[in-house]
Amino acid sequence: MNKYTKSVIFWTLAAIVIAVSVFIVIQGAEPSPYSGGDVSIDEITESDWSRGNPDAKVTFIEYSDFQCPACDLFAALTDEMMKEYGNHVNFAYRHFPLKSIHPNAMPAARAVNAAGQQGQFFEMHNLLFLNKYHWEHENAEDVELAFLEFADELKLDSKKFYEDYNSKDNIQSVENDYNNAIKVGLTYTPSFFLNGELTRMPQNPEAFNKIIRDAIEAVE
Amino acid sequence: MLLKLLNKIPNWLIWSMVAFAFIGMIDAFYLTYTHYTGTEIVCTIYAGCNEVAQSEYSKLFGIPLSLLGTFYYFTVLFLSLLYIDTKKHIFAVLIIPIATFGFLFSIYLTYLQLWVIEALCIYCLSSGVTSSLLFIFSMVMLFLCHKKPCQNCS
Repeated sequence: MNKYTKSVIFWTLAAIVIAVSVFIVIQGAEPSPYSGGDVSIDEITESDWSRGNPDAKVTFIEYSDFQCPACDLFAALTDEMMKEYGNHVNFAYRHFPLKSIHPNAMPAARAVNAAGQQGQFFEMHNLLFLNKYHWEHENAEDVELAFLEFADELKLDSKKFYEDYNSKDNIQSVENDYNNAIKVGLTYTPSFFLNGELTRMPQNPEAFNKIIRDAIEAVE
Repeated sequence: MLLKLLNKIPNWLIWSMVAFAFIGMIDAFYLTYTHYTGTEIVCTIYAGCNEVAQSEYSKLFGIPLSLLGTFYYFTVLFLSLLYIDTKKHIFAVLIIPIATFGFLFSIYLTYLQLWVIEALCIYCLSSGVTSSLLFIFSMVMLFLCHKKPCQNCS
């Protein structure tokens, strides 16, 4: 085989390998079932942890994880947005603790639910996000102690908080949220649904608020 | 000067460059594809992919970094393959400044993810690893030339 023929074979093989790999990547990256906007998620009901105006035409649902790196940033953005547009938006928070990579996300979700039983869901939600470094890498025992301290800070009834934290209903409720998110096909957090449609929210506060403002203007 | 100093580059070294440039190219291509088609990035290991890939730092002069990355890896891959085919040292020498630039740039991008965007993207971190490896291989190439000056360069 002369050198020229060798070169031709070499480059043809290289081109084939690259072309096949590119094809595989494109096939693998085809839009997943939830990105077409035709996903149906449950509407906000009384069993949801919600804030804002329950009668608002604009609904905003967040699936989030207390240990996810971007979620605290989006929690702050949502909080600011709700201060401004709370009268026009019905916002619900649903748990999607990515258990396999965030071992304390599930306990955190239970702690927030337990605080919710005493009417302080979003207060605990904010405390946990703000003080993430206090608890996210602790072991199971210390993480409970950290949550109890937060409960004290919110002047909750500690005994009731601890009972609710460990109650079967609470654990089941977080599991239900998780299973619901998996069923919908979500793979990342935070995922937002604006008026029932999966929506990418920007990290920039102005752009974030603009999306909500546009949705409000569209219905009012 | 450098051309004359270069020894025959060991096969394992140049094929490692081919392998990692190829992995880097596929990784960057995936991010480019998701960027232009608006596909969600499948991000099961670490949750910040879409945050990073949609951040204001994901573009340079309006061009997505992932596209620039694809070209970067493709160039390294192409040069390595050219060297394997022709055994001309100029192609291997050209890789050295390109890999150095790629490495420095990926340090900057990792810094952005950790301290500015505060979200990590597994595909972007992988790219950091592949560009670091390419840099290390190109430095090994340099080291080998200095250690034993070329006797019979092609």
